[in-house]
Amino acid sequence: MTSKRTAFGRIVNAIEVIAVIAALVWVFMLFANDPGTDSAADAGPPGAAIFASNCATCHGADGEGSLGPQLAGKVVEKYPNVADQIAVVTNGRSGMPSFDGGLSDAEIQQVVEYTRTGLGG
Amino acid sequence: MSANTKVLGVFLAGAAVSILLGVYGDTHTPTGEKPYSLFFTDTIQLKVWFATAAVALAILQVLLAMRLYGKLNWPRTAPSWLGDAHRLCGTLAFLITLPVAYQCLWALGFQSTPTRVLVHSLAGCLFYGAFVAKVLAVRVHGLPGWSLPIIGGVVFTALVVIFLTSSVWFFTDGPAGLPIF
Repeated sequence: MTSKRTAFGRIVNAIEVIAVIAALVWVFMLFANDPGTDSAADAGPPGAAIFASNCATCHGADGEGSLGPQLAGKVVEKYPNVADQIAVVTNGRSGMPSFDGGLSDAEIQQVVEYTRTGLGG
Repeated sequence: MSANTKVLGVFLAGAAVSILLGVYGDTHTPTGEKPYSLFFTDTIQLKVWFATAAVALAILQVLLAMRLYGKLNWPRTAPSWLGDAHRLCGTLAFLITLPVAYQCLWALGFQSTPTRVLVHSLAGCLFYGAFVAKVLAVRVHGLPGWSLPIIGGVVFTALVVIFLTSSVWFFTDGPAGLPIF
């Protein structure tokens, strides 16, 4: 019985060591993979960085869609009038949050332009 | 070194971790990428279910802690492996959160809008700081008896807030028709 308990305790100790190593690797990866100034977001048009920070979570990094609908290749067709798209980004709609106050008018304009041109409309 | 000094040191170490994560999330350029999804349909599903598993393990860990501290009387005779099982649950819960938090920090960063995401970002930073404080509180001898339950409670609360502002939101308010796995 004692040996069994000790064996379980040793297994838990080993898993704890693995967890510590995993945590160190986790921290290393956060910095090793940091895109820094070479990122597409930094190198691209102003709207790219805004898109990466605020929109990619739901619409995907390339606007391919995920939680939110696909934008790439679709958004111009859905919103022929850019003002309609700006209104949706500003005021939100159903699952889409409002960015009024979160982004300035200029930033909303930039990110909308990016979705229509940078993502291939 | 006095007990209060030790508690302060543990608190400062945890606070430093929380602040560093917040600063990283705020200054790092989010990539928006989805580095992995395993057998799930998308990264978001992986994150939602991993977070759910972490909360389930954390609840089990709290129950085991309550038995260890005599707050629960079942089973009548506490098995000798209870302490190890408590540690195992916490360690596994922590491990499960790592790929979730990595995607959050690396791909999304610290975000302040909408409110749900702000609360989620803050709770995420608090969780890892509190976790570090709890690990230190377990290892450092001579701390006041109240410190470990309090710090453990903060870790658990932060994890539950993270869960409520991500997985529960996804399950209840996520877009209709999205595959749940």
